Amino acid sequence: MKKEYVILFVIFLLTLNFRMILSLQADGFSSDSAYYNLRHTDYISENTQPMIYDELSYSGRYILDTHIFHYALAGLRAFLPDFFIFKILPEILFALLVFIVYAVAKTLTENSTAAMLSALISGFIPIFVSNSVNTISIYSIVLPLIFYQLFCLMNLETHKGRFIVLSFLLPLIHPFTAILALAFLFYAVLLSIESIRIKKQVKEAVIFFVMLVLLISFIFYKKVFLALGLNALLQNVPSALFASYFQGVNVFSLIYNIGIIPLILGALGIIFGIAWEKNDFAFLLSALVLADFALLFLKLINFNLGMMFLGILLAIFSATAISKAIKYVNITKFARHKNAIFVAFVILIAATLFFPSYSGASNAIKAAPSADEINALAWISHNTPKNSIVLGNIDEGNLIAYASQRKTVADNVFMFAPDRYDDVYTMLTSESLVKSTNLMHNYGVGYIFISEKTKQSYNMEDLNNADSECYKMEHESKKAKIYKFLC
Amino acid sequence: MKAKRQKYTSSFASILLAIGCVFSLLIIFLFRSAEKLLPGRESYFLLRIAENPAFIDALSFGGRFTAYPLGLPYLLNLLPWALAIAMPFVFGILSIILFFLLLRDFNVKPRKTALAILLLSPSFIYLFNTLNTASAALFLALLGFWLFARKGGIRVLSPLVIALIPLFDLTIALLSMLLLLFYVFFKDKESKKLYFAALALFLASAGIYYSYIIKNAGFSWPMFNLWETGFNGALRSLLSDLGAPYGIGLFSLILAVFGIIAVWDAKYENKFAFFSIAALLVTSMFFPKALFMLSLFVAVFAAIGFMDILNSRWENRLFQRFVLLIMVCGIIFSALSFAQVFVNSEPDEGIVKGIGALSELPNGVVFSEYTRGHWISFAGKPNVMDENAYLAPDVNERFEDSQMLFKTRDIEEAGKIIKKYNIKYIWIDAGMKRRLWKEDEDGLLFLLKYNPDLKNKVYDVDGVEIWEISEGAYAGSGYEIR
Repeated sequence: MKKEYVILFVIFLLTLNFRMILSLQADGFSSDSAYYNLRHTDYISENTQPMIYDELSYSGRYILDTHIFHYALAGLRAFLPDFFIFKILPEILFALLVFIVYAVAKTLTENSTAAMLSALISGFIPIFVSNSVNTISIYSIVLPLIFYQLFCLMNLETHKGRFIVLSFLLPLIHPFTAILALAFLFYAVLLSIESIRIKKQVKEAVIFFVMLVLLISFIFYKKVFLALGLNALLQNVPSALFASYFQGVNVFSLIYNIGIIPLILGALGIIFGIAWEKNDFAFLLSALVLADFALLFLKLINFNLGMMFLGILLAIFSATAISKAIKYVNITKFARHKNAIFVAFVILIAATLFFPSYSGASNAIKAAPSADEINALAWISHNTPKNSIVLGNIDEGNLIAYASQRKTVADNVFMFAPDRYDDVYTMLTSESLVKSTNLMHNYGVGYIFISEKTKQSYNMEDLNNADSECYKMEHESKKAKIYKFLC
Repeated sequence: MKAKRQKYTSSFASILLAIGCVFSLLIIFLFRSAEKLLPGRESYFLLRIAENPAFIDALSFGGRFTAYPLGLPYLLNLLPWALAIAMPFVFGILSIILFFLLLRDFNVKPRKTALAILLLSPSFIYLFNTLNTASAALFLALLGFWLFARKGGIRVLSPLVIALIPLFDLTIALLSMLLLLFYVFFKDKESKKLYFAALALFLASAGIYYSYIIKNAGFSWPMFNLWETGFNGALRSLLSDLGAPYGIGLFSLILAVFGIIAVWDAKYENKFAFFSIAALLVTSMFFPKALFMLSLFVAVFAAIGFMDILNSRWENRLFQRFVLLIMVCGIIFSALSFAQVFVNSEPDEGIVKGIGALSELPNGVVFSEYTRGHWISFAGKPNVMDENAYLAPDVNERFEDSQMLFKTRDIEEAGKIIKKYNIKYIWIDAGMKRRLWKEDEDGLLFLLKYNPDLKNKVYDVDGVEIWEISEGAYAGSGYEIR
């Protein structure tokens, strides 16, 4: 086996171990969407058909999802234990990205050392690690496949079949694939601005992919497009939440979240690739950066997702800058200190990426529901009427539905859901008992679940009128409280 | 042998097209139940006016001068119900024939593909499946164009036909004149005299008819938006896949772009088409009826685009076949998706029953959202306002008052508006509830639920509620209810 593949495999193991060590520290999952995926996978495992009407979420609502991911997880359950599927597999899938980043970076630079360093960087992008570790996320499949599709397009001669298969598969899995279609359009525009002729076969592949994504998206999300038009892309995110996007985003947060190394090297890589070399692949990757920026600017994608994607792209672009640096060092007197420089660079990566990643991921692990909170929700499932409705943090809605098996007021899957974002905030934080109880009446709230995360998210210690006769404490532990609503 | 096979294929395609044409024109007839055979709202308005065409409309806006074209109502007057069902079909068949003849005269290829795309176009399905003024106007426009493009003496009839269009639909009439101008200017400069004759007749008929209307109705213009505005609004009025009531299919539009690119090298020969498309595209942002004419051009260029993809040399045949397949699927999907929405569109059976129930109640002004106005007047009751907002009396004031009444929880405020328009009934249905209120105790719903003077529900079936404002309900406030 080639030495570079061994090193690459070591990078993969390093990334995987890093993620696994963090992930196994928590019993639960760090993101609420993990519980959404768990519930739907459970449902498919039991019924072999997807849950179209969710009786618990928003106390009953229609779900818009292709459920390919849930079917895949349910299918794997036939051969593998749940612990592996839900705890380990997502980490493996996210870690696999280093191979794909390596492949793309190598195609871009034709330099395996640069590509390897790029793969190493991609494994430890802080915002990527902290948002993907310890989750059951559809992006564990989507992100590697999107970058693999990109690789297939870059090597269309040899990967045509895979490109076609993925073109059908990707839009079926998740609508985020549209970013690739948008990027391909930007790619065509960028090349025409630079008067570079796009390869005929690539042009044909791009037309095919864009048309297919459009067709599949319009077939699957027909109802949303008919109801909301282009606003469907906003996924019905409540206006209050929408307004809070990008709050607190500044240069320092960007440096911290993406890492100073990929940020600087990535930016240099873009300049080298586009302005100096006029590299076809650099234009393709720049088009992806542009598409990501466009979607972020228009707030059409979640900020964290956009940043994760940008981080990986910058890691790939770093390979161009690293490759140039290696070539430059090789023609200078520093060439004899090549190994020392290499080691110093790896240490620099560790210092600027590894520690922020670890700190971010540790926070994510802490955000996973504690045993106290899970027990409190289990208490609800054993001690409350089956049709009771539980009010809680909107970012724990899926957790509440999963662990308590009770109806919720709201969660963060907003598509086709009524806008209750402000009302949940009012019910949990209002000083006016009349206001909050009126809303609770409207939503038929029976129990209120207050977790540590609720306290942090809503900046509260407890319900404002917890001592009034409208609320009765039914369950209390160190990290969770359950009130019964009596009025 | 090969020629024989080609002839056979061509005949087969023609038969298939004919069947497709009939099917496309009978979608509503085939799939919508007999009780609610007329979809939409305009058809109810036209049917009502057709039964008694006059220059005073006692029901719209509580009574107004008939400030709309009366061409179609007069045409329907003989047998209103039968013609309301049959006429769109007849206009559809005739329009398709004229469109085909025009393509042949202009030597546009491929004609059959263009025709197939047009038949699957949502705007075409809408136009000729329900009673509306644009279907008659478009037929006349096509007839006028066809006559205009003839060589013989018959072409002198074209100014007469064109002069009739304003009596059916002013938007289509103005656009027809504009397109004819482009045609004369870019394609057939020798027909200037005939164009001026058509223009003179057009101005005479439109001028006389509309100055009479404006003189009697006064000039008032809605200052509110009946449609969604902004970029999303513009797209939503253009593309049926994004929710346009009679838009263009996304994939037809994409293919049309491919078609335009394909003929771009011969752009100077296609100035008429390009200018027409640009003008129609811009106009459709403000007057959606322009989409009916735009869809004809889109069908032609989409057909050219399709044939270009089919005939050009692709490096990878697999991608080529897939792209063609996707385009065909996309066009069919747009048509089916639109047809499904259209067949299930309002009024539903509940609303039709509600209209029947309303017609049996004693006379009185009915308040509802303006989109319900035509149904209310079809039930023989005066409405506060409807969608014929142009040249309507106090249209902006009525709109503001309506919005106020929908939102208010203040009985005094509501009472003033009720008295101002002599409102006797309030019509509320499920569609309105979804659009106008978030919760079931918001604004007017709160008043109807809790105010003893208002909570007199006289009808509540299948999501339609009719509330009667009780006699003497405002006696204390000095309100009189007629």
